[in-house]
Amino acid sequence: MSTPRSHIGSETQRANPKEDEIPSKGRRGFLLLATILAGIVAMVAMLSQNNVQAILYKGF
Amino acid sequence: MNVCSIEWLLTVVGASSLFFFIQPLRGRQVAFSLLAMGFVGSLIPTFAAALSLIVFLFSGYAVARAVQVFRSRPLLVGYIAALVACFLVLKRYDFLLPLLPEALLKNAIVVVGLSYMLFRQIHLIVDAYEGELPRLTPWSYFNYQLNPFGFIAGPIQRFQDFAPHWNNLGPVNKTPEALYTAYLRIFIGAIKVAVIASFCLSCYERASATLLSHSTPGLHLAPIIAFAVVFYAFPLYIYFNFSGYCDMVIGGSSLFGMRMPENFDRPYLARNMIEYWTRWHRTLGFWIRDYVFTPLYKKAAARWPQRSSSLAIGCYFIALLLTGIWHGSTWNFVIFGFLNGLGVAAAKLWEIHLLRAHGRQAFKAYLQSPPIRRLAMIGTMNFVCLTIYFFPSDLTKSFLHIQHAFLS
Repeated sequence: MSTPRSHIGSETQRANPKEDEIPSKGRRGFLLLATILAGIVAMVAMLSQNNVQAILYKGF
Repeated sequence: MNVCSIEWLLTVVGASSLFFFIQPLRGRQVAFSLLAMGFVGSLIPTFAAALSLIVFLFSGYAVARAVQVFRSRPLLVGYIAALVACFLVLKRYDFLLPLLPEALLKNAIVVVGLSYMLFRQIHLIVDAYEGELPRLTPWSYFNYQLNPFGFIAGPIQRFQDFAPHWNNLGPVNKTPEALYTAYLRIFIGAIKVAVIASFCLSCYERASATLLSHSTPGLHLAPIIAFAVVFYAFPLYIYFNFSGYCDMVIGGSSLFGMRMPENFDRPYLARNMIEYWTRWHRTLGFWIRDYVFTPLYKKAAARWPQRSSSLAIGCYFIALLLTGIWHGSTWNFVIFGFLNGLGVAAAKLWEIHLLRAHGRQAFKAYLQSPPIRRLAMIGTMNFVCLTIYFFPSDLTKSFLHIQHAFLS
């Protein structure tokens, strides 16, 4: 095998390099606002549905 | 507890806010274990299910350690065979039902999280046998297997990825921005599952109902449009549902100092089915590559070295057929696996043909051509939709959709 298995995880983690980037100061407010808004929408959406299931619970 | 629920959101947000006030490291590990046990415990329906889970976990640890110490190949092979046999019986695969005793069918045993624990267990003992596993203690093993952020539906984390985080269970979101991003990811995941996926599912169900109620003979535009909605809405539903779930658990795990592997990378933009399986449910794709495809291909190529190319095609087909069958116990998953096997085998065959007929330089130019890439992406996306067309468990309904849209 060309790639040792122990390296595979770090390979998969590189799929989202943006996660490690530190945003500029200008983006901080936007990021905070977006988080709060998304949080409100997510909470309302979850509350309005009694039984939101991930497909995998059923299928797998 | 359902991951896609308000209870889960509040538990993760609340518990993670207090988590890093706990000192020292051992205290955080104990808190994480309690969280894991609480989560897994909430999913266990009966005492028999709890007992089955305990037997599964203890036998797994004992065999992993024995294989690590004694390097016994018969033990490795025997345990994997027993695990797979137990999995097939416990999942009650349709094609095995005539062979199973009635008593077993009547008294079904449920092992919570079995499908994904099976992957982690096989990975552990194979890597233990090959000497690629770091120090395995009962403490780290049980927390690895019961990690609430991958227990039910992945991502399939390798022990080598889990161990460093577990041994230094400290903040991975080191700046306020990283923390906002983690929260944002959880909330976007919840929106994907609760809003976008639910909308796609309702479109699918409405179109399906329209299609099934249509009985006018001849080809009409309305049923064809309804069929198109059925054909594309369900793959979208699965994507938003599963990737939203993964966003929630990856974001949630990072709030507890754990970094789970990414599971999606814009899968519907893949140019062929081989690439697709490195973008869709990535951790499953890599697992299949490492523990099914590669050993199978190595064995076959060592035996018949002059036929290595054609063997690769066969091994791709077998690996993806098995992947499909793992997805569920009914016949539609056999079709799903068969189509995926055909897709990856065809992609490999096409690559071999292009290399042989036109050479490496021309093949490189072919890969770099933007119009060809766009065409390949459209073709692959539609083929993927065709494979997922058979994903809903009611196979009869899938065929009735075709009949009502095109053949009535």
